[in-house]
Amino acid sequence: MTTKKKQPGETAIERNICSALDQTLTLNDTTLTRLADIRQQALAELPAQDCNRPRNLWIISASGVAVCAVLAIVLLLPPPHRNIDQRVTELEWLINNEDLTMMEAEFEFYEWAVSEMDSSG
Amino acid sequence: MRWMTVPTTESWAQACTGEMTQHTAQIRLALNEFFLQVQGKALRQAQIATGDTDEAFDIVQHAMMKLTSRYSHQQDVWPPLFQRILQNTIRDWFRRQKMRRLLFWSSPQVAETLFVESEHSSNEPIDIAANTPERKMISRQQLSAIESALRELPPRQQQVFLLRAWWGHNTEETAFAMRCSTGSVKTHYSRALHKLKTLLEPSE
Repeated sequence: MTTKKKQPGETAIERNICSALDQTLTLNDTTLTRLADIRQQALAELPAQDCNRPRNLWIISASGVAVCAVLAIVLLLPPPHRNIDQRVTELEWLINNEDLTMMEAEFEFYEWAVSEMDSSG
Repeated sequence: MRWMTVPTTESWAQACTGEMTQHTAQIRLALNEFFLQVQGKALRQAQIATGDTDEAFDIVQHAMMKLTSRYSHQQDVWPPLFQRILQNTIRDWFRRQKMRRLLFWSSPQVAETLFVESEHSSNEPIDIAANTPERKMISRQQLSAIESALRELPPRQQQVFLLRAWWGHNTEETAFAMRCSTGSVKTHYSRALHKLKTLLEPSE
């Protein structure tokens, strides 16, 4: 068996409250005047917004271009792993250079040793 | 040969003035009409919520200004948007009051300020309704009892009850206005109704 749920406004208490509140909706002159002022102040916001619309479009376009430019710069810049490769190469070059120096020193030693052997022989 | 003429600011303004004036005038008329339809209930709801007529006027003004400045181009959805702004503003008012009460307990200076303010504002809200024949059907005492009962409800329950029962919004519309689920709306409504029955119906 299903029981139908009561909808808002169906019970006596809801009807009484709503009826009582409705009876106070006819506003007095002071309140109506004040509300008219409020409406006018609110509606005064309208033209300013419409005039701003084309300017807003320009701002949006300019922002879009700026974002694109930043993206392009970021994408065109060499990626970070390239720098790392470069550093590794430099390090290898330094190590190689050190090896060369050592080899040069040894070469001088061997040259001296040969000359000594020649002079003694 | 010129393919396109670039409009100057003046020519742009002149070109759009006529069209814009007409368009703006139409929106202005429609908005004014809409505000006239909702202003009474909005003001009464804010007055019941705050218990202060000046605060109620401020809330209605804020809601109208926000709708005009931000959503004037969305005419189809003015009613739900206005409700949402109005309910948000009322909720913000409750939050501010809560914050002030917290400060009241922590700072004697704020307490003094609040005391001075409360001396100026009366407990009874100013009567904004006209004395019509319909008004005489219900006694001032009855109306006062109903408003007191509504004020005794927690803010969310009060808002849900007024939106559902008085404004006549359905569960989905109420949920949108209050930024909550339809389940919450049903719960709040049920609790509000139960409490109002306890407060207003004579015990057997």
